[in-house]
Amino acid sequence: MNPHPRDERRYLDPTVIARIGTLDLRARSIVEGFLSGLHRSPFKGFSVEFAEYRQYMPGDDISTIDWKVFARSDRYYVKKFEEETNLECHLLLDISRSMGYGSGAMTKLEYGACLAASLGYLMNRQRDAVGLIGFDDRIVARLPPSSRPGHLRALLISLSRLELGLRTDVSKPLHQLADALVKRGMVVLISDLLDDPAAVIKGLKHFRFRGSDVIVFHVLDADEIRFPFEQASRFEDLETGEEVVAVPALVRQHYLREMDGLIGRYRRELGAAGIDYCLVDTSQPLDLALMAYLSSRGRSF
Amino acid sequence: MFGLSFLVPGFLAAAAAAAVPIVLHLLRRHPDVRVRFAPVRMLRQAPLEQARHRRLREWLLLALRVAALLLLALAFARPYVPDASASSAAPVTIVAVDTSFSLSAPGQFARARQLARQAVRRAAGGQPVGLERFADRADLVVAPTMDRPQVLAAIDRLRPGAGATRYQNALARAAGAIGARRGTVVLVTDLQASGWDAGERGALPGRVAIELADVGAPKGNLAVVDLRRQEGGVVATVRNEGSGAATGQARLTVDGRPGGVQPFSVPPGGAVQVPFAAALPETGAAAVSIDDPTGYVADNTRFLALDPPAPMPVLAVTASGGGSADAFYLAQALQAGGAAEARFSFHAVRPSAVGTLPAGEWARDRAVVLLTTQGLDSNGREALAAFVRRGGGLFVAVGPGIDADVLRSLLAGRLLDVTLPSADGPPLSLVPADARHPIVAALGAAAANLGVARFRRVAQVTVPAGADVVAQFSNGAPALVEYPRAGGRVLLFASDLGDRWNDFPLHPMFLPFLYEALGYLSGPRQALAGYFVGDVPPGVPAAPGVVSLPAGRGSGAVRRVAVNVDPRESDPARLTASEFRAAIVRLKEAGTAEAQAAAVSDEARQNLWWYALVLVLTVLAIESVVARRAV
Repeated sequence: MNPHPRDERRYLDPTVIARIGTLDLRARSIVEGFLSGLHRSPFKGFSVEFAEYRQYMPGDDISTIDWKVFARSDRYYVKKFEEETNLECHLLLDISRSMGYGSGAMTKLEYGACLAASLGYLMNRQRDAVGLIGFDDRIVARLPPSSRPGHLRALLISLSRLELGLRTDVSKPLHQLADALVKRGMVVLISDLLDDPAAVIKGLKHFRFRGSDVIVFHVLDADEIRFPFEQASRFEDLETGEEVVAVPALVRQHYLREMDGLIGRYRRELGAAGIDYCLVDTSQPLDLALMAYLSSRGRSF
Repeated sequence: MFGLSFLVPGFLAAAAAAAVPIVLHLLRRHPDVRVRFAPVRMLRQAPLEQARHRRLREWLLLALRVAALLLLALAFARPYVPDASASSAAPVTIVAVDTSFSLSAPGQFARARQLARQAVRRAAGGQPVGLERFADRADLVVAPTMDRPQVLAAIDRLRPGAGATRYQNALARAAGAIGARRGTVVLVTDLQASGWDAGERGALPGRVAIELADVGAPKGNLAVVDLRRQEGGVVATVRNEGSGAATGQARLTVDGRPGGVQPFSVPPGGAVQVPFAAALPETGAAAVSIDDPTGYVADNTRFLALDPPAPMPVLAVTASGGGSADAFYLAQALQAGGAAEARFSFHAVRPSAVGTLPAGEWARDRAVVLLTTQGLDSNGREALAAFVRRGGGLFVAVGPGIDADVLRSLLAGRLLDVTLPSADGPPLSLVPADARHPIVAALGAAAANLGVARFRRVAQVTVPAGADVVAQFSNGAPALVEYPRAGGRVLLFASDLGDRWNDFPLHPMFLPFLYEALGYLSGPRQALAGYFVGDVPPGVPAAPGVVSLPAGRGSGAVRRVAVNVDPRESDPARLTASEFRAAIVRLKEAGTAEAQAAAVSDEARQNLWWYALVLVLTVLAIESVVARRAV
């Protein structure tokens, strides 16, 4: 348990840090960074790795003209090289009211905040720029990405100030942010995705279209995954206030089918779109969940 | 409520308990558990249908539980459907027709029928009418009905009988036929004074009116009021209740054969004895008849059984209920001579059983000897008083078992007023006081021997006005007192008959004294060896004549007994309408008691509570099934 329950450090669990400290989170696609980093950069420069030839355009650096190609073709071509760089990572944390549900020690929001903090730590250690956006049906809070050493603290402070918002509308902020992104970077969505799956997937694909690497952490409470209720209860929607009286024994199968269907759809369609999808059960220790994901992702490189 | 009435309506208040499940249902309309859940939309499709079913189940459970509680309250309230006729708001008219033989004078009963028909037609439309006939007993000939022709036809079939008039029975039967409803009793009668026993009163609920249809009475009546055997023949007593002298001839028949004719002349309001000299057989039947063209018919002939009279039943009220202890000497005296020759038959009961004796035990020719009052309850006292009123004979022997207070309350007017001795006194002897009294006269010269017995303790008797001191003690204190009671006779002996306060039972005069005293109590009826029409035992036709009865249990022999009309009915003396009404007590609570009795009877017959309980069990069984499926 975090020894700092009341300040911004409460979301940065030493246990988690200890686990993931040796791992890194690399972008799968090429990202546009401004520093040398772990990630492949689209920009060609002083790297030793030859990438490709491109026809000379007025304004290109003359020193990059490959004179041998000119000799052979009597045309001017410049040589492009691979260059590794850092990236901009945007942590998108869903703070809609549905994230306030929690059957265990932490709500989904708290769990998601811990996840965001952990990822922010990782990014910061990698000298990647990391920023934070809190949203419900609109962008509520924004911390621009930065790789400065003190930015992690700013990230943690931003996280601590986040409060539960209103209704969920994941797609709207996604489109909004996707349009605003200048560089290709990494987008990490931390949300329970209890929204229209089609709209969410479309919003995430928007990021892919803009060239960013997207990771989705689908945060769900254990109760939401397994529906362990026994007693006839009045289920009240956290966001809409809608009430449904149900006998769990009679509705469990239907619910599980729906939930499995939702999860399966996300996994399937996001995977097809080249988006990493990770289902996170809040009853699982965050360190284990994150380590498992990062290790798995690391093996894919 | 829905035509139902309730024996115990207070239990309906328990139906308020049915509100409990309703309140609980309202308070717990929603499940206690509220879960704030995010993906509620995933519950929308499937649970909506189940919620609808669940609501339906909840309403059904509520209805079943409320129904069970309501039915339970209903069952405990003992519902019943009141008798349709009783629940009818229409008043009932009962036409009670006097069919005693005092309506047998020529033209009388035709007038009675006419009055009865008028009463039926006079009853308001829409009201049920019933027909009753009464004499000694009252019978409902036609139950209250809207079918008036049926009632009229029944009136046409009525005939006067040989019974005597008893208004008390007539009114009670009519009130019973009316039940809990309002009504009118139309009494078609000749208002004969003898229809009320001395001190007797009738009772009617306050909601029942009474109308009198006076048939009238003949101007006079000749009747043979007595017939007994005497040395060399029989003697008949003819009474003239007319205003003028009556002459005629009395005819004797013996075993159906003419036995002689004797003329008679009777002054107005008087009686004359008409002797017949005839050789009579030891057994057989005799009858004396006269002609009375204008008077009652049934009393023109008197019957006499020539068979030796049956032992007179004596009922002793003793502490043991038998012939031992305090009744030992009495029983021995009465049973002297064995079963074949005994003049009396002895039967004993405890005081506590007196009030519950069946009516047959109180036949008028029985004498009752009261030796103890310990355990004599109010019913017993009333039974003894009624027995005396009906003409019975009561002999009270004041001994250790007598309570002076109970004795004073036995007869009206605290007649039997004694003070019990506390200790033995100087020995006293018994001395006849009234030589003309039948008891003393019957003893004859032997009466002087009464003085041989010694009495150590005697009660002090307060002799009321009109009482006759038949014998006294040697100190002048009353020893044997006869009290004036119309209809019956009461003798009080100021010491016991059990050899505790005296040695009287050990002396020879004890037996004749008892015989004559008890014989006197039964009076001339004992000599008739018969019954009145109204007192015949079961199996004996209630008609004048001579019948054969078994002589004794298991003996196989038969004896003849005469059944005659009650001579009191021969007296046409009448009451005025106001005198008649004055003898009727209007009871406010009787109606309620009758209504309650009718309600109890209806409920016991219908047993609706049983069906309600079965329904409760059924509902609870269904509720348990539905509740299990709701879990």
